Amino acid sequence: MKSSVEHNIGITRRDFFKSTTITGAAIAAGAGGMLFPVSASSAQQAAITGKTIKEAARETKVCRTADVVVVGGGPGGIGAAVSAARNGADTVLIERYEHLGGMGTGGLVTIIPAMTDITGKQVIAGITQEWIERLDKRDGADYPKKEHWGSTDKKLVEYYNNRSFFYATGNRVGYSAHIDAEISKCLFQDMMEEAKIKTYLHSWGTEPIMEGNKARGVIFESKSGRQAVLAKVVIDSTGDGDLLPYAGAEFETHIERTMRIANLSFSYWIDNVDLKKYEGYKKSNAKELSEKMRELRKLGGSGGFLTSNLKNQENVVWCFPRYANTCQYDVEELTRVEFLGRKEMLITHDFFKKHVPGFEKSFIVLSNMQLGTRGGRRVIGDYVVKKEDMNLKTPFNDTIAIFPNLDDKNPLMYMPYRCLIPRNVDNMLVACRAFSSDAVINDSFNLIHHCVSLGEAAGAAAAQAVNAGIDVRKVDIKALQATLKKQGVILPG
Amino acid sequence: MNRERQNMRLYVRLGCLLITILLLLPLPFWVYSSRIFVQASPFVTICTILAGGALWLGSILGLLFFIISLFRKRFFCRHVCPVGLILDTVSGIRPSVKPWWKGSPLIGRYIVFLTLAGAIAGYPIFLWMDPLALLNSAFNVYKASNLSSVIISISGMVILLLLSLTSGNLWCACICPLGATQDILDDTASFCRRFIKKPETDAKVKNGYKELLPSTRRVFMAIAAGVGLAILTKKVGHAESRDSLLRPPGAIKEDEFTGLCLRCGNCVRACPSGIIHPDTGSSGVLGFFTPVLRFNKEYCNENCNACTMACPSGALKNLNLEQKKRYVIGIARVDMSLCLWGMSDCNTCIRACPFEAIKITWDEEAYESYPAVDPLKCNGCGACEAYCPTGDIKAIRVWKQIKTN
Repeated sequence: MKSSVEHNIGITRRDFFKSTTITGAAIAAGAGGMLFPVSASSAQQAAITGKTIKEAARETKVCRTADVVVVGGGPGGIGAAVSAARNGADTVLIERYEHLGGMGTGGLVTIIPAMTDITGKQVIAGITQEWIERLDKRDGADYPKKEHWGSTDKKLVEYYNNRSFFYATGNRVGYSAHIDAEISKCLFQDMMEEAKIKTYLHSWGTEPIMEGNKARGVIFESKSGRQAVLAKVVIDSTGDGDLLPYAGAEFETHIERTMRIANLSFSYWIDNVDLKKYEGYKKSNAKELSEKMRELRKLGGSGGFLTSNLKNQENVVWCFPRYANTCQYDVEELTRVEFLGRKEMLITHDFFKKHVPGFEKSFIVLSNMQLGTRGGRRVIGDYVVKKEDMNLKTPFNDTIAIFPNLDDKNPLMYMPYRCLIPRNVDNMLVACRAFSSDAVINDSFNLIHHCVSLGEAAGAAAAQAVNAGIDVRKVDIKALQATLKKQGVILPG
Repeated sequence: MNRERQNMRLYVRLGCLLITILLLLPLPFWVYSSRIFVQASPFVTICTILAGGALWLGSILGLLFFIISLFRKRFFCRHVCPVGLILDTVSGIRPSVKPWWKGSPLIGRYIVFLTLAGAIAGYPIFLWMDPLALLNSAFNVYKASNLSSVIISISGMVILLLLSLTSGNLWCACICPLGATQDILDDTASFCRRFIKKPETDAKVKNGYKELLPSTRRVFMAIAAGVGLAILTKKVGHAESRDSLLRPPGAIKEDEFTGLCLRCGNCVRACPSGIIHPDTGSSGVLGFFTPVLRFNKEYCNENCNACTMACPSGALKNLNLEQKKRYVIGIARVDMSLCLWGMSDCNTCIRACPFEAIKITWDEEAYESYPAVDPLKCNGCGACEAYCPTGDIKAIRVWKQIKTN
């Protein structure tokens, strides 16, 4: 691999333009045939030795050279790409699905929970806040009114708790939002275009291009074949840390089975539910309903759902059944759970339709395009955030994000910049739930808005490193923090 | 002179009423104030001592009145009883009412004998008829969370007031077990005095003996009935078989609880969380108006033992904070078909539990993880249930353990 990489590093701007024009011409000619930029002669000269095969060395076309390449267009990747581009870096984003937003859209995890601390003060803002504000313009978000954040008024708590379990925690109203997945996809692509981020959808970033321990770019696969993007900083926002094994980075995978992050979700939506009728039935026949739910569970289905709460979605409910598994980046497990999830989705919906008032005319309107993943690889970074760090009284010097913690004694969790930098690897940052942490920290702080925040910091740091021509770990922390604050990120001090 | 004495007596009675109000008003008072008030009744003190051994500082007051009653006829009624004063005043509104009940049997005495006998057998059946308990309960109105609680709190006093309006002093003279207790004490004392003075020779003594004779038969019957009823009610108490029935901490065995409980409402009033409610049927006929726990919004705080300290009868045993933490109200159980852990990563109960009794456990057979309660750590405080966000029926609920395995 190394030799081919070295060969490609020498690419000139002219070569680059030549290759793009050729590809462009081919498309213009309307050629329906092979467009693979890999020459046919180099392909498939594999050595078959039994249990493994040795792939032939091959030349891969460099389709783009940029300052920063971000792999994965989920919450982390969006935060990273937008933040890097806005700080002046020429940025490329590679996303394997046909949409942006990852778990927040395709995974139907359409909830941004707990942006306020236990007192009701907002501590997560930045790009997450921008996302919600952009959604607001299209009635794409629902959340407790700002003046109610932190309220312990029993009636308010009850009202919001009835709307969504996420709107009130510990008998206090908080800032959590239900969001529209489809509108989010649209506004993310707006954000990419506005920041002039070169985005490749339908493209699976598979391997980092390494030069020693320095990351120099990324190889991705798509319908167009195998191509490379070269960049000064590579940001892994794949969620599971897919680039880590190939970057030679150390990582951890152990998760206790009892943890939240040990579970996959198969999420789906049911539409045309008469929720008023359902609520009425629930009020007057609570016991009967709970009996029915017990019966449903015996059949293999699962009761319980959230209501969408979004405007004109009064008939939509969200279901998030979870699935234990052995590994969330094992393709066999992923396939097993997809199959099982769909089977049980039908069992659940059939039961609701038949036995639960309000669901008579309902139908399954959508199931997740991406399986809901919660935990995978975790990089071992320059600093591993540990359980004990939840009790920190003073923030890290290199704090780049504050997360609300539900622990009364230590309501704030500080995230150090070093947890984004893989140990022993240069020019690379991890900006997703694969950040350097023990399982307990990951269990608590790897949700949508956490990832956006980590991404935002990684993007700004990458741009700063590119501008100064230094490695990401040598970035001036004070300057980074100042940049983040300017972007609306809430930091200590 | 006579008028002066009457005036003095009125002042004393008014003073006692004032003290009562001070003791019972919802002021940030000592938790024991209403307990002392109820225990001032010699009827309550004697019965609870016989039934539950609830001897306490407040019992001294009751015992004191007990002893005074031996020498001064109806001392408590004439000088202390605030209920008596209220009822006298009310019946004074209609002085024309004729005591139609004159000559009818003195029910109060039988109630006392029945209850005393029941107390010895462990179930003082009519203990709740004590007038101080009834008045005490009426002061609970401000704590009532709904209409039924209001009605329950004031029902006793309302009945007494209606009786006074329609039938004069029927209650005080004829029914009140507290009054009857004093009568019995007075009778016994005067009988003894006479007997000691001139044994055998005095005709009066023989007469007095004869006077007592017919009622003695009835007394024996009442005692026998009391013991019989006590045993019967304990047998058919049944409420203990209800798994959802939760009593405040310190509660004695269910089959004795409904008997010893005065329905005075002290525990309801003492509870800062407002989770103790007078029952309206969930604990069976015998348990009407007895305290039950409901963890709708609040739970039994681990740093509070107020109800156990406020109980005047010993139905709730006095527990210090350490003992109370170890007292098992019930055990929490999770209904996974309602639990949000499996749906939206909810772990509210785990964070709410003050005893760290709930942990996520892995079930290999079911191939899933879920919150499970450690029965050795859980004391049924209900924090999990109170905070559980599932709405009308909670996914985690505290249940009484019917049988410990």
